[in-house]
Amino acid sequence: MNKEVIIEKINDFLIDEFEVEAEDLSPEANLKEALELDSLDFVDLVVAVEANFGVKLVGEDFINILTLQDFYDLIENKLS
Amino acid sequence: MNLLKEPITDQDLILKLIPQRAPIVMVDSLLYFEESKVISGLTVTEDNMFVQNGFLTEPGLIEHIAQTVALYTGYHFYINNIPAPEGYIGAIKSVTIEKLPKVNMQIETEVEILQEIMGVTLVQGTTTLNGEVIVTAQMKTVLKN
Repeated sequence: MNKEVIIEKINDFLIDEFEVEAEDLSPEANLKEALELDSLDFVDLVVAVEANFGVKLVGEDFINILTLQDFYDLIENKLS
Repeated sequence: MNLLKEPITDQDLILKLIPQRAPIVMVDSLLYFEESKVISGLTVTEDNMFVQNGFLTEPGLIEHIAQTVALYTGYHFYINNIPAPEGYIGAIKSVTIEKLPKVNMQIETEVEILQEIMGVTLVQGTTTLNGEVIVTAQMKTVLKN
């Protein structure tokens, strides 16, 4: 799966699951702010990633995740 | 695979596994335990604080599911010799309640752990009465720091 496909797939489920607008999903956007995530929402993000990519994230994975680009990179790294 | 040699029904031990205390104790047995699934039991008594007009009410059923999650977490801690942690219900969604159990009836709740991350546990709970599903709910519970 190439990077563009990964990003498209991530954006698709973020729009569906977190009810955000596509234009808010710029790579430099702050992940928590763009998705309006609170501490309870991270588990939904983990569920969505596992459902869409078969990858299980753990808390430590989010330590250095600030932007959407960081999140895209995280998923790409997990898949590789 | 059930990791319990036999169901736990000793009330003193149940109280070691959960942080709740009377009058808000809503589980009285641990019937099944595995890595991502647990089954609890509760016999509805007349003096249960969630009983009204002879029936266990909706908040009691929700609390029963939440305490089943507490039982799961508490047993995990117990086998590692750590006291049961406190927690609370963070969110509830997709709740369906088909029937309220009467006093003296025994309900069983199966909780499947769907995800755990950053102290938040996402579960699917299913409560049965004589084998009939009476409650389903998805719930997020949060461990207190």
